[in-house]
Amino acid sequence: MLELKLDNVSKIYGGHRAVDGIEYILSHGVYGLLGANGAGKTTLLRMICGILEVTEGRILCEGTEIRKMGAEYRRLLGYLPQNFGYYPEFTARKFLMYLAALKAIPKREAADKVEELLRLVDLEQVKDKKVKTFSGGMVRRLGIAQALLGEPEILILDEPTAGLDPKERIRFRNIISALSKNRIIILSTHIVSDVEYIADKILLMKGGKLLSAGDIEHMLSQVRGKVWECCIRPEEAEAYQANFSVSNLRNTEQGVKLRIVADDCPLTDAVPVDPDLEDVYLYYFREFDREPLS
Amino acid sequence: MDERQWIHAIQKGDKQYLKDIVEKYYDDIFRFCAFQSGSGEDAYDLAQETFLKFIRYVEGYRYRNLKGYLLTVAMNLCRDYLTEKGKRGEREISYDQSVSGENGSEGDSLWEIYRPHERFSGAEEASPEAKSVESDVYGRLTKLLSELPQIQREALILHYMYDMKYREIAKLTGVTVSTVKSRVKQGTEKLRGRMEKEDFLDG
Amino acid sequence: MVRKRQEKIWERAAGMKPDPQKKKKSLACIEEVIADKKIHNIPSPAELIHIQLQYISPVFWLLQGGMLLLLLLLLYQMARMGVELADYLWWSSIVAAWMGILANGAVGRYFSHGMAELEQSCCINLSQMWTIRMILTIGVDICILTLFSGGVAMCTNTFFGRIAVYLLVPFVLSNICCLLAVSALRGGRSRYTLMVLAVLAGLTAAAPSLFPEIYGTAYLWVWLCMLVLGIIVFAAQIKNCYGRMIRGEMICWN
Repeated sequence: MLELKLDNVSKIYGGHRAVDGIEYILSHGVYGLLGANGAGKTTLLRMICGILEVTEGRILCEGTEIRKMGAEYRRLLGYLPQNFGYYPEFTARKFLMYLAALKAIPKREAADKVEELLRLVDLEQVKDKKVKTFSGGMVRRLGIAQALLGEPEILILDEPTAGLDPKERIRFRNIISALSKNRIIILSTHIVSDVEYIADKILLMKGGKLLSAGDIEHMLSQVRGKVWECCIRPEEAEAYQANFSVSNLRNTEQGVKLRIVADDCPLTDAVPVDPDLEDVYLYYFREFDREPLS
Repeated sequence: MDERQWIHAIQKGDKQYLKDIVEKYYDDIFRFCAFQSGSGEDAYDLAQETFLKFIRYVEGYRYRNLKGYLLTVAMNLCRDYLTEKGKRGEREISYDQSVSGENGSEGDSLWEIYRPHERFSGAEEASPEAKSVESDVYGRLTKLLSELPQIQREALILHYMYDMKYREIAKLTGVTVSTVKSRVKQGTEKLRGRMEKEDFLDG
Repeated sequence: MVRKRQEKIWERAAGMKPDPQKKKKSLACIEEVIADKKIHNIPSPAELIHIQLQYISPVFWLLQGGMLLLLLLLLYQMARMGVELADYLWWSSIVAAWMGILANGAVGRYFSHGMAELEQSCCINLSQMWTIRMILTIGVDICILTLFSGGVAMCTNTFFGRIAVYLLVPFVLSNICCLLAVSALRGGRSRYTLMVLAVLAGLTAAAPSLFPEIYGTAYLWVWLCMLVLGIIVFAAQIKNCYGRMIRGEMICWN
């Protein structure tokens, strides 16, 4: 059973703690790493990949420090960085073959694997076209394909669905779900719906610290009784939005229906409702990144 | 296909030859582990672990002397095993319950797990006396060996049972040839003395 | 007599075999592990170099080849004309400086295009590839310059080592400057910056030829000192870059 242990991991830049004392043990399954931009998610993921040096603490894979394991540890990894770039002159196929070579996959095997992955992410038609001609979504799909090269046991995806349309997002979710057996998958995102359906455990990060972690039920239980729905007059909507954490707002014939996350009942006729993951997010972050509408 | 080609093929991805290697050397490694560790039961685990270790690091193995390499791995595993046992305060082997060949309370006694009658070629079922004589030989040799210091035991087993030259043993154990020579000599002397005492040297 | 008997006992012990049932169980266990085992491919140094060569951009080959051709052509031409040492040196110093820019500029390419982070997380990571590439390119360049020095030596009846020094100094110095630009400056890897550097380096390299006495034996020790110092500084620079890479400082710009 592959186990990754984060032992009081911190990253300190000057006086600033970008990541602060993270303690957690990861094993097989999908982990959703939720947090706003700047929460330290990317920094943490870079440390787990071994790209960024850990300032304090250790990261252990099956009991051995990853620093000491070197290439043998990297063999287990598949990584999709947030700022995923590419050599523009490469074709999709050449790009994947190049990365396969860097991942020490023998050429015979690599050729087959590359074909398979291109099919999986639906880039087979354009495999001989240069990557610079690709749309943002296509580039991301290519990124996902390369992360899967070499059958990684630890898959780290940093904002993988950025730039994907809803259909592609769903497709991506399905790919990840299918992979989650016998693998550690860490998905970092600030879009809650990405992980709501596929994550086994959620990790909430804010200000470099791990605020909360657990399976979805556990997370929901933390805000149970703190989510309310009420109906108000349209003129009051703005005032309410300013004073409360509103996770959803809907115009209806009866007025404006608000879904509010608050410790105490915000309004006399507000009804408590069952929380969902977005409410959890809002409860912890007090700011809400809505999913882009396009 | 010879061993070198096996290793080459394995490192290129042909795992099947790993099985061939295990089958070829299992008995040899088992035997070493049994006599070195003093425990027949644990010898199976030790032999298994030897091959698992070999398999785990097979990509980095540079072919030179496969048998020697496997014996080195086995040797180190036995050393760790004995150190662990020593820490737990156990005597290296306990012989008290073993004389009559009855089953021990936990696990088989030392010679029930050996199949001495197989030594008798052609004999379907060796006589119980023959059986017990042979397993007796193994058991008593193991006991005598256990009275020697670990490193002498190693040298003796490698030299007499595996016909290894001093030079080879020196390489395996990481000491000089003269050290090996003296270990073998001292070990042999001691063993002979014990054998005479125990009246071992009959037939 | 006793010895023989002892030998016999060992012989008999050597015939000891494990219990078939237990052996079978043990083997089955091992077979399971074999089935799960994935043979890792550990690339040999030769294979690593091969990977490098396959993915080097054609522009690099063009420029490198072009410079080599330039050296050969001009050597031939100058030899025919029968010129002085300084004449050989002024343009070949420029080419030597350009080689330094090309070597480091090419490697800088690894860090642009946003690939550095990803490559560093691979089994054969960026710091390894970078090191191999540097050694390869600089090694080849040094060979070319040394051979070229030999050619010039023959044409001017000078000791080839002396000429090599005159050429390696601009080479090493331009390496230092270019590596500094590529690793420390934000815009250091752009084509524009490299071209500017190439022009500056070329001018600086050609400058000594304005004072031909500087190639005289009197000042040879100055050149030697500069070469030694340059090598030390460059080596320190490489070590520093490598360290920064593995800590992630050069790779994670944001």
